[in-house]
Amino acid sequence: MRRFAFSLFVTYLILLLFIPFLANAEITVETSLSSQSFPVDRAARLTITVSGARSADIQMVEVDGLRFHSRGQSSQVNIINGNYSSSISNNYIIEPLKPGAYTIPPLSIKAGKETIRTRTITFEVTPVGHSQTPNEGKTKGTADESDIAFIRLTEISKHYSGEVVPITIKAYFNQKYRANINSLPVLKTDAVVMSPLSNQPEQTQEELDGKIYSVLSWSTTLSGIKTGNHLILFELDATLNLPRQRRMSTFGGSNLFDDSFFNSFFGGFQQKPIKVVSPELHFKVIELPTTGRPKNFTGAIGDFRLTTSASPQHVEIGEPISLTIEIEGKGNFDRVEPPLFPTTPDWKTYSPTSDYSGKENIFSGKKRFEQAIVAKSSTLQQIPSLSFSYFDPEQERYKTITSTPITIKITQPAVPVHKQQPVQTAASLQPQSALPVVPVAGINSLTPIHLKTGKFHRKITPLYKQILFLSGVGSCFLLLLFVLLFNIHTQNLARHPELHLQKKRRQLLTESLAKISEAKVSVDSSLFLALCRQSIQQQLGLLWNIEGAAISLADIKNRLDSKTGLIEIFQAAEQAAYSTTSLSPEIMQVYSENLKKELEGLI
Amino acid sequence: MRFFRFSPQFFTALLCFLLFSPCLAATGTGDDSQNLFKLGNKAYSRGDFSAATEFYEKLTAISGYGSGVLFNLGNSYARSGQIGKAILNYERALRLAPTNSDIQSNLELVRKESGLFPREYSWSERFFQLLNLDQWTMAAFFFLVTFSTFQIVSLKRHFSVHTRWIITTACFMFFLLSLSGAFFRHPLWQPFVVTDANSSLLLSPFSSSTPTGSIQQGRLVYPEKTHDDFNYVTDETGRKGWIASSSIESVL
Repeated sequence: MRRFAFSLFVTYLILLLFIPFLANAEITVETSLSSQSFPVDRAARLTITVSGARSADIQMVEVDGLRFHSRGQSSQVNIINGNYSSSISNNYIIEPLKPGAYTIPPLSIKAGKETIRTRTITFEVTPVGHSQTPNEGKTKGTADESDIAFIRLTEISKHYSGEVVPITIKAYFNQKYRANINSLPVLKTDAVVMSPLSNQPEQTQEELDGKIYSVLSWSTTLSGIKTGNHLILFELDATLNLPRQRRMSTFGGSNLFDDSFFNSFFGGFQQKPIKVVSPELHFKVIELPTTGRPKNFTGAIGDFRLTTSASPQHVEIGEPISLTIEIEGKGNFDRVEPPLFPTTPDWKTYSPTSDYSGKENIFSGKKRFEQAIVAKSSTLQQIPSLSFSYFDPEQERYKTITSTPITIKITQPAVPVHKQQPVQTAASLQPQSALPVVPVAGINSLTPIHLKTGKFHRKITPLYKQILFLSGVGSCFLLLLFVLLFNIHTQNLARHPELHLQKKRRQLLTESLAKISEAKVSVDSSLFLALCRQSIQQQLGLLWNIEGAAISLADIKNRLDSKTGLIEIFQAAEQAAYSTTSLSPEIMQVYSENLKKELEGLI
Repeated sequence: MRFFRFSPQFFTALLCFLLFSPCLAATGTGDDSQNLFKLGNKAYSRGDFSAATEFYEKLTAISGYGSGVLFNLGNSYARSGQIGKAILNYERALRLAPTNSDIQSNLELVRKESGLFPREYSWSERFFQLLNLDQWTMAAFFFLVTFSTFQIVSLKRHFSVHTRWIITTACFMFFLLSLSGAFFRHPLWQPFVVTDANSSLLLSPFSSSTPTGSIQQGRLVYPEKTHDDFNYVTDETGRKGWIASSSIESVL
């Protein structure tokens, strides 16, 4: 900590030492205007930056038709790799009062002992609504919007219906402003469809009119679905983070923090939604010509090449050949269908499968078809050529391309193929092979149908969702819980044997009291007293860990409190054992209550 | 309270009604089911597969899913060239009778003859595919029951620490293994089957989208998300794309 404070002190000292030298550095001045041409209902920002000085006094001039509003001064000190520089920027808003060409004469700036002059600034103020350049979009909802963000598009001319038209959408964001994008560019028309845009556009940086822009580029394709002349535009939602203006000092004087720098430092940012809109483009969609349209034309528009290959090229009759057809090029691949294999009795064909692989973008790629074909005759010497037709929009005519025939060798099988023997097709050789148009011979060897329906189920439910299974699982867990609790209980009893003894005593007492109660009800004094004596001996025997029958009146008197009611009851019981004693029901009631109270107190 | 007192005769009658009413209902629908099943079998035997398909479909609509009916329905569809529907019904039948070798062999044959081969599986995937979801679940239940029984028995009978440790560890390990198998098989329990012969996987969920390739009928696909009438699916070979909801049918 002390070391850090020392370093900070040294840095500060060095700064103090060097700052005076800055005054001796060369003083330069630069002026910049946010726009060279702007409408009369807008304003432009004039920034005068004086480098190499710590203070500057700018003497503004008066220009007929213009008003200047000061927007504060900001100063900056940079220390980069030991090089020091300072600059002061003064911002003014120029408010035009009427359209016309304006010239701001050189301004005098007094910096230290020097007086320097700016260059002459010229610009044009146009009438209202005359500021947009072609193909340049604008933002909605902010002042000085064209400065912040706009969209540019590549030019589009007329195209055919269904044709895939590549387009690049470029969104420009001025690096002076902080902005977040909330959406991808959205196409505003229902006559043209756009391929999905990537979530990760190409990010570059471009300089336009002396301003640095961050540029997001999307390369995509458009395709007209309705003929006619359509106006299209793109919109993009963004949020602009504007520095929040701090509250100015109420005392009127200049404050230490009265600098625009502190607007962002202390004031934070306020978010403002903006909509960046592209310029409107004319997209003319025309119908494909009907004259000269080939029969096998499926709607492919672009520029394509056709290649075919076959494997194996030496087979026996009935053995499948995998025919690969590749159509490569640029265009609307969704309309590219496989060329039809000529229908002849010499060939058995299966419907092809297709697989598309795009290249740099969706506009360019390769579509690959695989088709299983089976030769039925050994006289065949080649796979016939295949034809593919498409429309070339550049030459504005239909084209048909034909593949070269593939030479093959078909031989008779060594063992003649039985009619019922399943033919192994290419489909069974490759995972992505063809699906037969008709049931293949192998299907005939299916296991025969069942003669029992099987148990009916309204719904196919997995076992783990069935009530019976869940009940079984629940029972198991309950059992395990029971075992767990039982084991805990057993272990608890093993650790505390007195608990078990206490439980036993309580149980015996309950039984004894029940018998005593019965004797009391039957008004049998002898039995009542005998049971009372037995109960006292039993409980005290367990308590003192001696044989209960061996406990005498003397033991009770010696070991228990003399005030206990048990002595009286035990004494009466002793007497009754040797003589006939008759107790009234009231006394029996009193004895039984005392006995219960005293013995429960011992537990 | 008197209102709730019923005579023993009332309870006897109620019990009889509750016991026999499902049987009576079953007898009614049972006859219809058997008739439809026989009609379907007859149509199949004479080679009228479309008629057989109609009878079996009607039977399924009336009585629900029966493994035998679904198997025969699969056969009828396979014979009439509707591979997607055939595989769909074999898959359904396998959910009800996972060990039935007839269903397994016919499903394998149809898939093989149609070129519907799955991708190459890793050894662990192959291991977990030895049993289906229900079988793995049952295995987990078996080890749970074994462990519970052992715990109950051990309350009465004393086992050595060594024995207890071996049995407990074995039950726990096999239970976990079975549970893992069930978890692995669970996402594969509810596939969809491509039943449209001209299906394609699309780049985007709209019909004019660029297709990334065709997908054969009978392919098992697993939907991940839905958008309007399209499902984003992964097929058993690992290919992904959007497919029209009308082109696929759920096994369950």
